[in-house]
Amino acid sequence: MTSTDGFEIAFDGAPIPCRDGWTIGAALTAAGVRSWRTTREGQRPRGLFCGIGICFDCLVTVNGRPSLRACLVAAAPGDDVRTQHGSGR
Amino acid sequence: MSADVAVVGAGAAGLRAATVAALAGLSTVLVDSYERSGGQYYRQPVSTPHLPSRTQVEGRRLVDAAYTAGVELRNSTSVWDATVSPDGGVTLRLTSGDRLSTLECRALVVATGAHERVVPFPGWTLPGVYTAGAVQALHKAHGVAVGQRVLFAGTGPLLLVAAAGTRAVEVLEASRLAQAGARHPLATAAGLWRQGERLREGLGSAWRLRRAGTPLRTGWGIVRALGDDRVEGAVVARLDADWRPVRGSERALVCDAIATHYSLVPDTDLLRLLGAAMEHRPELGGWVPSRGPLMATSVPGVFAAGDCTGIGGAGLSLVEGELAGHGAVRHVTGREPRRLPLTALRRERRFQRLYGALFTPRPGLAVLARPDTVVCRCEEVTRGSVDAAMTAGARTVSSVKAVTRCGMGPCQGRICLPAVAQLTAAGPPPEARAPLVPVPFEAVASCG
Repeated sequence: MTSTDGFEIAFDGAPIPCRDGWTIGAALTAAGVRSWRTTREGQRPRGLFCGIGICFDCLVTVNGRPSLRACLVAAAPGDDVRTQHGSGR
Repeated sequence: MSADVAVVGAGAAGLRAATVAALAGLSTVLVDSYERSGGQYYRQPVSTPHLPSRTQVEGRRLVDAAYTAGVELRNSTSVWDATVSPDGGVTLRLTSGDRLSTLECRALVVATGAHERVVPFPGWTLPGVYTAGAVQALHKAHGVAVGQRVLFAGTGPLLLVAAAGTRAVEVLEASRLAQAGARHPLATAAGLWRQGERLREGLGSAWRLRRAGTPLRTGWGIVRALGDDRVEGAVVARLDADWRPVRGSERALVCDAIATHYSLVPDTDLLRLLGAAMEHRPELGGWVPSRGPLMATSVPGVFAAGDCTGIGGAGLSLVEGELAGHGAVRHVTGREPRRLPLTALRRERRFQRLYGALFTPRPGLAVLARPDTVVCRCEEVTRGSVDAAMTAGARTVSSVKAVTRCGMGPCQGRICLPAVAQLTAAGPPPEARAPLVPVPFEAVASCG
């Protein structure tokens, strides 16, 4: 497999195609996913916003670890990405 | 660990400051929270592209110069706390993933840059609303488009640059650029003097939009985003001289994403944490550190350079970084600098003044948020709660923050407090507190 072939990650159990060097946020956005978190108070959907790690709106659970910033975390083959509800704990 | 000079932020200013210090023979550590050096403007790509852009090539040169000079680069590392030692040095507490460490230095250069200013409007928390920088980063670094019909609305050159090359449906620039330029022809000409590269980039972006058939309207802005769980459209309107929507000019359009951005806000939390004296300069982006010669702040041994001291762009950041580097060297060694880039400093300051005259957000934007509009995205505080706190007597940003929890979430108010500052009376800058970035609790506990 060459690096341009890419790989797959899972979002709430569904396969998402991914390329080398992509962040989790880039992979979800490319797949048409717009939200992967609900807020603590209003249970409103949120996703990527600032894209550079300062707004903390794109928090997501990856491989069981909650509250990671999807815009910063590099995607790795087989990552299990899950929608995060509230603080995710 | 310890170093003669520590520099925080590996963008234009930080790279240049660290290089100057290392070339003077001082042990120099450059800390940056991103995996790749270069800052937002000169960010280095993860894999080498076949055809690197001009900024990537220039950035490569800056990073190489720092390495060659002997700078120790520590990427993926953030400062979460900092204290001034009684003996005059500064202690930085760093976090890198789950690891914590301490860095003692005799002089510190703060070059933390800036982040985008976003003005709350109804619907701005819907998935599909992004900052223009996020849209640009996804496009440039990953080749990912956020939508098929993207509305760009706000103010500043980045809006135009980010829109060019993406599937923009319209670009709305709040500032009336042509009128402003015609009203102040001399300042405009002086500001653009020897800024050929910037002019080329701006005109090139405008040309690409034109060729793609995307309308670019100046004096227009977004009023609200439409949609239930994601962006489906927007209401836009003509803006008056104060950037308030003109009644009767509203129209709805269909779009599947919105990129917004109202210029930039200096990232000053590390400077405020260290107790540096600040001044409020709206034309520079808000609160900025007061500085003396060679970029010295009011705290002995602490220097500040680049966009964190006032929005001025990469050109000014390079010049200020060089000056701050000399400042740090003089502080540690007592050596006076020989040659300073003062002509370049004057040229870049003229550009900075023009930028401020064109792209400083106007007060009319404050009418966009309705009582039920969320202002603080982290803590879900509405405009109504902020207004109620102010009616009840909260006058400054800090008191609104204390009463409503606005700005107390993980972003530390970076997104919402500039907007709250537009509503409140002038007061001292909001207090910065450690941890500046979230730190794993277990890690703090284990380091004692």
